[in-house]
Amino acid sequence: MVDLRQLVVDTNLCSGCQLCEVICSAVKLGIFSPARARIQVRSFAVQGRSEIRVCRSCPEHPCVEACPFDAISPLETGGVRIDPDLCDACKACIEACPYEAIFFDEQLAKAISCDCCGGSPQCVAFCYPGALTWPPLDGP
Amino acid sequence: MAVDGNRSSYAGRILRVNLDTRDIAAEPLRPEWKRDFIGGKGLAYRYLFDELPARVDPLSPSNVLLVFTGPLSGTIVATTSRIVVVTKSPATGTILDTYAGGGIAAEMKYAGYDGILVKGRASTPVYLLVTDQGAELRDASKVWGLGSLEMDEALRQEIGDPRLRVLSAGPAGENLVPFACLTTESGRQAGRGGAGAVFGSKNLKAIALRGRQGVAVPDMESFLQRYRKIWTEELITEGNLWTWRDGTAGVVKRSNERGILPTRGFTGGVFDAASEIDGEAVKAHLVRNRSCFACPLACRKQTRVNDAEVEGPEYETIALAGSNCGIGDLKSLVAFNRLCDDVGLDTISAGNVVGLAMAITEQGIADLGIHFGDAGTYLQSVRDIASRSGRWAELADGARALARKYGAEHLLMEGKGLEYPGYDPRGSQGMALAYATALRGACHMPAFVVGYEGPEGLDPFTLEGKPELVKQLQDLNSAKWSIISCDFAGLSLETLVDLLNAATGETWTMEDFMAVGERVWNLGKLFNLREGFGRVADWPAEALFDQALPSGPAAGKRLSRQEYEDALSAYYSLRGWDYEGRPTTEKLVALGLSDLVE
Repeated sequence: MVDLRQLVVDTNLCSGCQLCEVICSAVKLGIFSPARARIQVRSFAVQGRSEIRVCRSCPEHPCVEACPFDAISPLETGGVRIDPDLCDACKACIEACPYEAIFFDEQLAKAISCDCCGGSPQCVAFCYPGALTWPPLDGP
Repeated sequence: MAVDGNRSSYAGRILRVNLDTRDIAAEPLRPEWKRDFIGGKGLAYRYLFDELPARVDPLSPSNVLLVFTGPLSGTIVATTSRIVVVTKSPATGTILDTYAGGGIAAEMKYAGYDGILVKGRASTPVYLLVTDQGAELRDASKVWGLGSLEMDEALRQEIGDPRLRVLSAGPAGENLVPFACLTTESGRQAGRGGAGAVFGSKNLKAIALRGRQGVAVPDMESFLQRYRKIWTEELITEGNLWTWRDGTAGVVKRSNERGILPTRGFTGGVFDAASEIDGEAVKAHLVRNRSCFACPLACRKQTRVNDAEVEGPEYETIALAGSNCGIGDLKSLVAFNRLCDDVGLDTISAGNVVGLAMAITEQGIADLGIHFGDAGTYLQSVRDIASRSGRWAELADGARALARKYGAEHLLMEGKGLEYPGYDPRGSQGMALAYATALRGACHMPAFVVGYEGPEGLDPFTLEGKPELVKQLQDLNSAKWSIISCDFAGLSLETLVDLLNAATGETWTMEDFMAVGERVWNLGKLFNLREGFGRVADWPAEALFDQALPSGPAAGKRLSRQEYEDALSAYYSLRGWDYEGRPTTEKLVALGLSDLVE
């Protein structure tokens, strides 16, 4: 029986520290490069708030249908996988995502999305305010 | 990035900008200075000493301005996304190092630079745009006059990039107010010493940064493993997270209890309305905790009191613009804080000069038309200062000028022209030595002796034993501010140095690291000596000797001039300096600075 979990985002708790971006890029790319992370934080300093954009593992996953190259598959452990060998950089998925949670890595020239690190999302441990949590889904 | 083929968190280059010719070029970081100065404060001091001759007018085109970061910025290490702005101070004429957090330091590293060095003066208002694709000077005529709180969005819209970071001078800097600051992200300021005026004098409105490069370390997997352990065992602790729970406002109550909270123009050390503006009061109006880049400590507080909102207020603002101005109303304090942030004024100096003007009026010395506790005139004075117009325009020259003009020197609390921070030395005597010997003028940061003095610590009513502590803290902080790590980091020195080595591939020992601190402090002293600051300049405010506080634990206590002389001599002796405060030849040779002195 798989212990299914979901990345839960409470943007109101976000302190704008961007540690999620930093660890994501470090783990996925081997360098600290927040601009290329699969989670993006946009801050509004005067208002003292931030917005978090990351894949919500939505059941409709319009990104999957939008992709003409069948490069995207939803993951049971959360997020989606975008196969870089199939991705043709058309950005249809980016257009389709209602959470603006798919990004384009200019250097790789590929669309990128959170895949919850295969079931152990690294960002959660570094989110001290608890804006990102990884609770179990309610069982049947 | 790769430096000489090795992965290192240094960018390995600085950006040199000539505002006269508008030439901009990248150049390699001086490798021979890396080992001895690390980055941040140390490295920027070294460049300044090399590039700026003595006796230059700080507001002339000849002043040199450096905005540097340190080797750990852009990495995951908490509190290291910090810039230091180093230049000659318009407020004091000494060397100036002033710091700001936020994300701008990391952005500079992602753009590919360890620092930016600016000379000259632009013929028309400009801002410097630096990205990983290049750098250019852009016309700032449309944003000249804009408040700092509008600058982030204004430039983001112009460049079309919502992640652009901005460091800007406000209208106060444009008008060359000597205590004009630089602002980034609304609530973060490089506050003291007039860096905003140096920007203004160069017709430089802002530096805007955007970088998409990454920062590499020699072995990322090992680095992350090490840092995860540090995070759990050393960083996220009850002791360190006072920042999250209380922020700096939490210190107000303690200062008030110790009788050292600047009150009504430093005429008192206990404020009757302290509970209206202390940590609990601020917490009751908390909107959200906010953080600098890559930091969990979230010491920043978004605070709203009815329709007044600010990121803050920090302890120093509460002390100098709250109790020191007799303002016991949090909403007015929040409004003052926000206004200072927007016009770009240091709240410590602003609170001091406004409090002084109030004291001059209340004591009948002159009618400056401003009274303790009067919120309306208090707020208007900030607008007048920033615009150098209106009834309170004369406050724009700072507290020392105001006191001299009205013969109110007995009320003046400053060191080398920089107004006193929020701890009255009459109740914490070590701070008298700390303020007087700080390189940029009276500053509480390099030697935070007040944190060691008190009912459970060192005797606050003596200078005995304080010279050693002052020296040690100054050297330690000079080393830490060369990394740059913020004072709230709460990590052991061994951990910091370990991470520094792991990120850069360098091999500093603890001895090397401590030597950097002492070297950097001595270099700053050489700069000041070259500018004519000798023993007499390392002297506290006369009020500390002549006037006692009327109430609280420090009531009736004054410092002794003889004890101070002895403490200063002891401090110089510990430092290896002569009677005038000049480093001896032996000391300079030991620190590797002997070729800097004729």
